[in-house]
Amino acid sequence: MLDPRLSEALPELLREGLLTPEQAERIRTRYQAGSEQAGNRQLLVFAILGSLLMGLGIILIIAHNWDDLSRPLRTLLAFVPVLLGQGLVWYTLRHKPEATGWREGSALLLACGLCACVALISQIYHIHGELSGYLLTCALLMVPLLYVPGSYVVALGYLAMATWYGTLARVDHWNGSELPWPALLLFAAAVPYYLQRARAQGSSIGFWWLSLFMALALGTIAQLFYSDWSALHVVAMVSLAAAYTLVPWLHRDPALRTWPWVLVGAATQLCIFFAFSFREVWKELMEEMDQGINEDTLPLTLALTTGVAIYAITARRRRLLERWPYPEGFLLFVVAFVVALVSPAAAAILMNLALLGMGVVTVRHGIEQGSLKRMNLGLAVLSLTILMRFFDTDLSFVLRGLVFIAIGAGFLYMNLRLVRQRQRDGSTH
Amino acid sequence: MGARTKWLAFGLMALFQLALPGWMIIGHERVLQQGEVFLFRTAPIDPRDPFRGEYVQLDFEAETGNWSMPGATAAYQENMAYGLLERDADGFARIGQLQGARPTEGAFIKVRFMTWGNDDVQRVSLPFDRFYLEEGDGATTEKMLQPQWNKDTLVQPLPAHAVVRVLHGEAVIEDLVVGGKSIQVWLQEVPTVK
Repeated sequence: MLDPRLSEALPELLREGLLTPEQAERIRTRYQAGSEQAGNRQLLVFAILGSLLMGLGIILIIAHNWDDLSRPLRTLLAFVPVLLGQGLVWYTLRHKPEATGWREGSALLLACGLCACVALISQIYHIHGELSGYLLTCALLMVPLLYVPGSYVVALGYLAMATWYGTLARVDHWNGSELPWPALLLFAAAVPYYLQRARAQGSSIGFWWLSLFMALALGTIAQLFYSDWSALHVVAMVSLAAAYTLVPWLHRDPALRTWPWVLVGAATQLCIFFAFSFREVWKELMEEMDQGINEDTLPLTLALTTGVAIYAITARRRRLLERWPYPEGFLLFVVAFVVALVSPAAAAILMNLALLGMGVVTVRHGIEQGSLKRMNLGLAVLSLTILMRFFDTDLSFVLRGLVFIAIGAGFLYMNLRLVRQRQRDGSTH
Repeated sequence: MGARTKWLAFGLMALFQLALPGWMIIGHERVLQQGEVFLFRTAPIDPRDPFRGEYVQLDFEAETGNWSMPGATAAYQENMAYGLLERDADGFARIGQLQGARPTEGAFIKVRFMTWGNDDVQRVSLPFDRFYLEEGDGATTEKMLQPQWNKDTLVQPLPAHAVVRVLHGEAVIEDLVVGGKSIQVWLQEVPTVK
């Protein structure tokens, strides 16, 4: 439906001669299309929510465990939700191939049906065990749903399940020699789907979410192959984080929504940098420098090579410090690591300088692009670096108070300045 | 995707999604039909699973003992081994010996254990540890199988054991027997615990 305020305003604007009849018609069509699109989106959200609730309902009903029913009957019943879901997917493929709501809803119901089926079999045969085994079976059964109806929501659930499985399998048997290879394979199975979506709907909101889950899943699974934790493991993590922030330079289409990779990479890097701005953290990790290095040679080499290789590949397309400073942050972290071999205190100072530098660069980018968000992020990095030094030093309350006031005033001044600059730019254009 | 490829892909997907659970069922049914019966003394406690419902967690007597496992001596390391099954004088199952290589004869199951720097093993985990029950029955089972005070006398709970079928190293719990009765029958006779 057209916004009532717009439908009232259009005839008025026509009467006053501000719009020609053609222009008015075009505006009307544009907003009508927009509201139809919004209606479709609403329908999609409700289709997904409805299917999810129904699917979870089936799982809960099955969780009741009907002891009165015989084993063969319960075994047969286990397949009912699966067949129901498959029937719906078949109907969607045949009669509603273009309807996103049907595609997402039917795939989601089938995914829940599959989880319910495995749960019922576990009950019937008292299958032992850990949740990880259950999650692995369910994820395996869900793989085809990424491709045949091709559902975003199922893909997100699938990636979450694969990550959950990998983490459980590793954490529950931390001292075991088994590594969660299936988690890596499950992730690999989603890669062709991700690339296919990038080509078909790379600028959609669904792809944004898919990018976020891919980034989180890969980042988490990559950490599950280590046997121990040392400073070199952290370098490998920073390397991967830097590689994430370079993803936008790996594709040519600027409309592709790969921003979540940058988001995850930048957040990881900043957290690590803040932690390593403390001297104690360096000292502790450097003392146990050789922990797990022999056992973890392969995953460490892989993570480090990924960072270096992606930096090298994108170096031709990207100017130094272009858009954000995180890739260069990796190089600085490597330098700090080398310095820490001699002096952990000097490495901590270097980390503080790196954070200040990253803050300044981010503020500058924010001002140049007129982006309040980015400028404030830069200011937050700068302020947090200064504030965190309060934990290290024994300053008086008065001095601490003055620093807080100075930082607050700095925030206000910079924001006001940017808003004025925007207004000036707006009036000159 | 062409129409034919689409339907072929759908067919393969549907087949796979039915075959994998079907294969799980057949595997377990085979053990239940053909497996050798072993009785494991147990004491159940009641937890819940977010997806699979209510069950009683089983803690078995056969999980504790004194074994040695030459070769597995690393400290704080989780290991896997094959436990050879035998029966005690009362007919209940126990693990006679642990070995690294898969046995070629006799009944055996896979167990997990931790090593603490020498080859002594005092505790293992059996590959079955839960018995699913109808919603509400888990709490009743746990309560009734705890020692209880009746005025000043401590009343010991009824003895319980799991009936387990074992075939080629695979084990499936067939029943949980409490005081000589199958748990389903026993649950119908005891008052429900809220």
